[in-house]
Amino acid sequence: MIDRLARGAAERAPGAALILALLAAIEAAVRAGAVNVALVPAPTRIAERLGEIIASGAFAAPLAATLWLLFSAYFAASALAVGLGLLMGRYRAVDNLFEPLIELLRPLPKPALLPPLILFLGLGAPMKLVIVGLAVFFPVVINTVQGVRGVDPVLIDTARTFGHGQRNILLKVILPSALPFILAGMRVSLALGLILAVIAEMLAGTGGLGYLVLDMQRSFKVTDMYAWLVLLAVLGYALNAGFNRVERRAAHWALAQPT
Amino acid sequence: MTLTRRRFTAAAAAGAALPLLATRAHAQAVKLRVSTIPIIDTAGMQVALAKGFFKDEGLEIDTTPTAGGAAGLPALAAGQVQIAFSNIISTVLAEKQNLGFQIISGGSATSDAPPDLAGLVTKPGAGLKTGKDFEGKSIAVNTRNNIIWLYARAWVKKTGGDPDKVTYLEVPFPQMIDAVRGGRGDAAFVVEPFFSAGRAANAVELVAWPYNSTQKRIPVAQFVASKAFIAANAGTIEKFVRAYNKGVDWMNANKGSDEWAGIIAGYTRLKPEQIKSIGLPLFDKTVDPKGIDETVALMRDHKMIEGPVDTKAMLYKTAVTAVK
Repeated sequence: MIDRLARGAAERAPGAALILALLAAIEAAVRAGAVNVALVPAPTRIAERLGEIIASGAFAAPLAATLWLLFSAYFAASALAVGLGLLMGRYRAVDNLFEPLIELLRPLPKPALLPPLILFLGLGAPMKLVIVGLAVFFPVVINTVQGVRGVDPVLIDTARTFGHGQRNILLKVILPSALPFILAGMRVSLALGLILAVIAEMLAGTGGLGYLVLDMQRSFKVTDMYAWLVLLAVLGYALNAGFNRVERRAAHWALAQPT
Repeated sequence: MTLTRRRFTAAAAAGAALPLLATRAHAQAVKLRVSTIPIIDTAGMQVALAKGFFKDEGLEIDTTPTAGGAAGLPALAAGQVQIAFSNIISTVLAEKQNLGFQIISGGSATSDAPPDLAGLVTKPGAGLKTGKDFEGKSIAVNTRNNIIWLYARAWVKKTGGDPDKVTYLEVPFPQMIDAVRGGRGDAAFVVEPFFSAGRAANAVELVAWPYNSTQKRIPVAQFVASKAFIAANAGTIEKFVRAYNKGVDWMNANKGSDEWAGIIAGYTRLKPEQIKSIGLPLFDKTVDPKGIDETVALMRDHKMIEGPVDTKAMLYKTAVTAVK
């Protein structure tokens, strides 16, 4: 295992070195006065400010607000999408009913739906939940349909031979088989959901990481703004890493399946 | 003489340079990009534009509308515009962060008594009268962390409410009346001419004058430029302010006239009839640092800034002595 970790670290080292080199270059430029320090603060100052924000616990409430928004909408919309996707993939009639609507709405960049949504729902929590939910819904439902369609028919026939009903086939054969596809869709949705959550927070003005980034810009507290941005970046990274772990455990057999 | 490649290139270069030399002679006009807000506060500049006062000074002005100073000053910092119209709060905040701006002109201000150039409005019959009523409700402001936001908070506090319990929605001024009418926000702290237009249409009713109930003679907003630009272009700045001051003079002499209403209706996209009934703010040609000091004290009360602010250093000479 140490061997594997060492290999992983060795592979990542050049990338990490690049990031550090870029940061060092910015630091040097700021110290030399080549860039306006009021617009581009020194990375060391940003790190200092970030440390202060973390030490004082000021990050907790906005982070909690953003995560609450993201996860509520994410799980609700994913559940809906998986449910609908299973039905659409399995039953032609359901697919014929919903596919045109989904194909119409899917290509729309979801931020473009914010203006009409604000007209209908205002600027509060319902609007934020709906817009994040919409962003999450489409990749998951489409991937679920693909996953269901790709299930080996032999598996389904075998289950039927063993006397399983429609519901059991759906939940015990089709869903697990389609899981790799579903998880791929959910990974994309997680990223999209975070993006829309941040944008919605900027518009709604009631807290969260997105709100703070804009608020700091409005107050010209540029160092703080970058510090919160770094927090946001770390959040995105952590969510993705967390998702990878969940995926590896949930769909480990997909790697073991013979092709 | 044969046409060698060298002779050809030389001739082509000379030929290409000719029109350039010709335009050089005509390119006297200095181009300036100015970020503005489509509200009554910038009427002086719009009048100067419409009446050609800037052109008389050899300036070609290109305006960019923004939601407010909080949006215009970043554009100034990025060099996208050379002059920005900004409220005093955003300017002080930028100054505190050493962004290197200076106020170059007078602008809009409030007077000793209402009506102010902006009022707090709600839907008719909403029944929200004091700051306490507004807890848990929303007030539309053009941007957060600026003068509208600050004085809305100050009013809520003064009338018995907790400003942190109120939500401040960012809605551009031209859309505020519709936002209240459509229920998107419970109230709006809206500026002329939209304020009077909304009241005249009975879409909203006046609740309070947050400016006047907090402070008299607030220096609300002015034109701002970067110190670097001012140092390199002092003559241009003087010309800009001179033309602007002429616009202010014309406005004071001709307010209420059809031509005046037409100019303001033009850039605010309202109808001239709606303009006739609006209240005009004071348009000073200079700024009194004492007024800024009072506002800075309010900012400190609301924890917007800490520490001293050199208000005298914020004013360039054209904002202290009126340019004739």
